[in-house]
Amino acid sequence: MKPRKIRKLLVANRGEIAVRVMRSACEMGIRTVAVYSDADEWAPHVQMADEAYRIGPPPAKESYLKAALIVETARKSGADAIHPGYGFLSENAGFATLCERAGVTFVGPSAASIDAIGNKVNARRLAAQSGVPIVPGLDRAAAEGEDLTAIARRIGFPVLVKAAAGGGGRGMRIVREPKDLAKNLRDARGEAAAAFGDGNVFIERYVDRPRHVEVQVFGDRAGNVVHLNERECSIQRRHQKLVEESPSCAVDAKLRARMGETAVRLAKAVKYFSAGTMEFLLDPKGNFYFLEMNTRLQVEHPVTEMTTGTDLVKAQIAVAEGAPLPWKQDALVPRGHAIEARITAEDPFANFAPQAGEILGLDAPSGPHVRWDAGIREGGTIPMFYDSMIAKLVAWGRDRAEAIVRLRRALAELVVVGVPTLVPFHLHLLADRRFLRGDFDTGFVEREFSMSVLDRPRMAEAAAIAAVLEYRRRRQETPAAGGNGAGPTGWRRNAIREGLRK
Amino acid sequence: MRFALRHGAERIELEVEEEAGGYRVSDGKRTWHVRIEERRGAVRTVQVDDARHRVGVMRKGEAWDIVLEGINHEFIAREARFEKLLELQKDRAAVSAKAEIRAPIPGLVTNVLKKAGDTVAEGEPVLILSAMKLENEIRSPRGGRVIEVRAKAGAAVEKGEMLAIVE
Repeated sequence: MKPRKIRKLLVANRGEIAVRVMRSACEMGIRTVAVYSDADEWAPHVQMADEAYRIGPPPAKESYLKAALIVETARKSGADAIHPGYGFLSENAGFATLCERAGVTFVGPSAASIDAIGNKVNARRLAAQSGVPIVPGLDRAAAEGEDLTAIARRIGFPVLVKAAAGGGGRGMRIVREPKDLAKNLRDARGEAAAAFGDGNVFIERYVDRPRHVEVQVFGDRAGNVVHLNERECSIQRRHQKLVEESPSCAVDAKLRARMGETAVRLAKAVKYFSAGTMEFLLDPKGNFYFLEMNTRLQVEHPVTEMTTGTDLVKAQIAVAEGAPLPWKQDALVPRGHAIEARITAEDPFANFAPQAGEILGLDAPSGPHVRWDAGIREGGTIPMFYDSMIAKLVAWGRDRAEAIVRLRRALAELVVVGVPTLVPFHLHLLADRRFLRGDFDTGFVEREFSMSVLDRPRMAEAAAIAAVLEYRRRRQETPAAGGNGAGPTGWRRNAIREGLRK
Repeated sequence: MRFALRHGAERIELEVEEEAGGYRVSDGKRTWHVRIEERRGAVRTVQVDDARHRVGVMRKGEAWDIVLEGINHEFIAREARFEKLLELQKDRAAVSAKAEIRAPIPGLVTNVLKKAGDTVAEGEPVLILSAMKLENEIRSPRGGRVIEVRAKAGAAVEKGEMLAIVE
């Protein structure tokens, strides 16, 4: 298919990433088409789009994962391109192929590239062939019910069991003892099958105390590839990233150049174009091992955008239209520091349990060098069918210290009412001495960072506020007991003002 | 009016009185002067003594959810004199030694592992509740016999909904 100008773009996603993609499209004068499930009929991404089409009931399998229906919707609505966002169909080579066949431009890499490197087993083989360092492991998917104990012993315990498709920690297990291997393989397989429709898993050695450092790469259709430096993503829980930064405080200019060059080499090996991310483990000695490539835009792409002055979505669209890379490598030196906090509807005091619910109140942060990418609004709901990430809060500073202080300031401005969020976790983390020193690895949060130590510094004040609210509620219910002479009308008016009915 | 506020295992007793322009709240040792902005909506400006906060306030079933400096504080507030009675009733209920398993979060029941009549050990999973792409094992809080399973595989449940009873 010959690349051509995009006039109308269907965004095959929801939430904050759909909103973020539409913003860039809008600035480029491209009309936008949203698709939505029944759970999202009035969601922000639907609101923002020029057109919107229902694609099915709430479960993702019956809506946002319906590849053929989404392509058909693009065709019917006259959209000439589809942006997949992240998650859902973004790394599905079959979906990219469907788009190509229907004559709809897929804003992302070619189906062939996704096929070649999006699968973790293939990616490792390719990396090894291209001279990219990898962690020792099994170079094929494990067969169902296969006894891998001997192989795992050869690789060396602890081993990591991972889903061949997808990411985000689902279908991923650390196994420290041979006796736990079979059960974990089985569980990972089930989880991967449920999350990605692909139950294939593989195993590799688990590197203890590594950092997760990833390199943003970007290529055009002519075979030019650049890197946009690294992102530090070691602040994770259950393999789910919580905070990301660029640059990484563990990477100096020399290492950056080496990792960048390695990432570019691998991208070129699969003729990669559009945005992609090479994930590496970086051990305490500065050795790095290729983990996998994400053949899509990442959640944390804003920290790269803020330190390089780029708009990766615009560049994706331009490259999809056949344009050459908009940047030269030497213009992509990181400027200052950016840090992102993922705002998820999870309760850090209840073992980070995700919670669906209604957003009853929302005060979003703003101000200089602060970016708020959200998929929620006041009065909206967070459906239980999808990811718990509701927004990203990003701050830029001249250096890491300023970026962190700015993010703290912005977090203090943020008020979300209706569901618990990660805000208290972030405030606690951003004041942690080891975090501020940059002294952490991927196990930091789970190993050393317990939310139970977090006292609730303003518990007494909060109780005093609750007591006053309860007092007022009771006085409204029993006006006879009242002492301010406001009368029934006043009580009713107060009840409305209170705005706290349920 | 005297209130007992419960937050999990914690209990705070507070006296609330009206005063000029606001309320005086005391726990016997400390006193706070509280003013709450009159406004619709769940985010309000609240003045506690000299400090001003933007606070999320929400009525959630029986509880008040106060979001202060990013932290959700959920309080069940009762008049102190009634609360003692309620505690007595609760103690009596505890003697009957039935444990209700309720949904800790809204979700979809994807698998029911136990049926009425089965025995369970403490901490043994009774069913799987899926929400937001995660599978959560809902475990029995105690060992015993399952006397009723209300959850059905494939059914969506609300937070707090009864799933099973263990005796």
